[in-house]
Amino acid sequence: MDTGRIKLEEFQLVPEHDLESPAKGSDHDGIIKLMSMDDTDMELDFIGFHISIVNAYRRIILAEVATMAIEKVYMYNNTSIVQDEVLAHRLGLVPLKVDPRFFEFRSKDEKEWGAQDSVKYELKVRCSKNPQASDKETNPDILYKDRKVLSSSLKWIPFGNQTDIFQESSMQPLHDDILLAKMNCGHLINLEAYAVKGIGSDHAKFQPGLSWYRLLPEIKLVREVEGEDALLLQKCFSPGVIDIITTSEGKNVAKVNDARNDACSRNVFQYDNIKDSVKMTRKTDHVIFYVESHSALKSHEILDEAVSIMIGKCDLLLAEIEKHLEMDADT
Amino acid sequence: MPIGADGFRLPTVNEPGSKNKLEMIRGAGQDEYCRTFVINEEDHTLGNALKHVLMQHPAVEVCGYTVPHPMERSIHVRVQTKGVPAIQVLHQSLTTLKNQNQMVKQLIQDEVTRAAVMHWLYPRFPAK
Repeated sequence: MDTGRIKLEEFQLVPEHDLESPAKGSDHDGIIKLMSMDDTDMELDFIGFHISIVNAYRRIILAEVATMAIEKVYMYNNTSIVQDEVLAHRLGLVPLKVDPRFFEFRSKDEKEWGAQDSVKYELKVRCSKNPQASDKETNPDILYKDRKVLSSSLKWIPFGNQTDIFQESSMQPLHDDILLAKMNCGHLINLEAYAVKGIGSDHAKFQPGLSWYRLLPEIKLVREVEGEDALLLQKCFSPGVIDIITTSEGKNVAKVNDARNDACSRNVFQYDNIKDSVKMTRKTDHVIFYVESHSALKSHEILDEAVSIMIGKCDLLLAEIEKHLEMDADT
Repeated sequence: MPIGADGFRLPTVNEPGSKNKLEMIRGAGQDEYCRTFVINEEDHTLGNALKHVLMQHPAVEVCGYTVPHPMERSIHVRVQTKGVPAIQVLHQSLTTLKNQNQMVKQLIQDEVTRAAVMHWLYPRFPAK
């Protein structure tokens, strides 16, 4: 286990290695701590795992965890000022509540739309005069009905046995108030859209969410910092990182409260009087990992899928190797 | 990783006309203990993690991976061992990597169930 640190100096980053850690150890003793979790956001700590595995999860979340999004749009009528392709592009980016785990990937040469790989939506909106508006009304949103086409106008058209499996409320777009197009009186939009399962490396609309990580920052005061210098030191770091406490002799002394929230800006190196008073490092085996969801999957489900995909990759390769070993044993 | 112009689907290795998942380079500098494996349809996601696990194997002398060209989706993994055939080392390392990932999956599930039970972890974000 690499319990090393990276020292943040003024102009460079210097790796520091722990002398006691073995050169070749195993990372079977890692811990995971969940710091906060919600349906949309998740923060957890990977302690004791190598960064390459954590990075693999981040890459998989961004590129290979599947979601559903509108892919093909059949335009029957579009007299609005929004061009066909622009409207189709905007429809593709609308996040849907459809759970991708119930669907299969569409095969490359498939011509028909099947119940097990696609979801059909319809958008039929016409902008007309509002008969209830008064004569003196100037606000166009009240003068005309359906002037703004929102994502709530997307209607799910079930086919096949989809009505047995899904309810209408779980097939709607994630947000009702996404503005798709604006129309003027007399304009009409009539289209059919098909949503399929895809992955982020194909198109960003299929990304289930965001994921990023950082290493845990550590701050150590090398010497005592008091008075004005202490206040300056407090300003150099993110709020809440450095506290000013009054010692028994009546001096105001700086103390490190919690380095976790520090943004590691290294502002302290701007000031000569406190430049030498702190040692800033980052722990290389403590990773703070964030997952943010903006699709149907919840944040912990996204991470779970990512780990399953990684296991799937290993399985696939292991099967190939076993095939090779069998072939060699036969010859 | 998707293939083709549509990019709808992750390829399986059983498709006709697709490349093998795992190949070995033939030529000088390759024998039972020193091999360069070509893994198709993979990138740094698996390559870096696999390389790290391979480095920890006691029989491995030299190990590294590279993506020969960013427009081709394949990685070359070079393993040089002393005493154990390279393909066996690769097999053992992949098993270790798989076990680690399964352990991570279990840990995450445990933490999530624990958090669901003690829902006081939610206060940072308002409930919908």
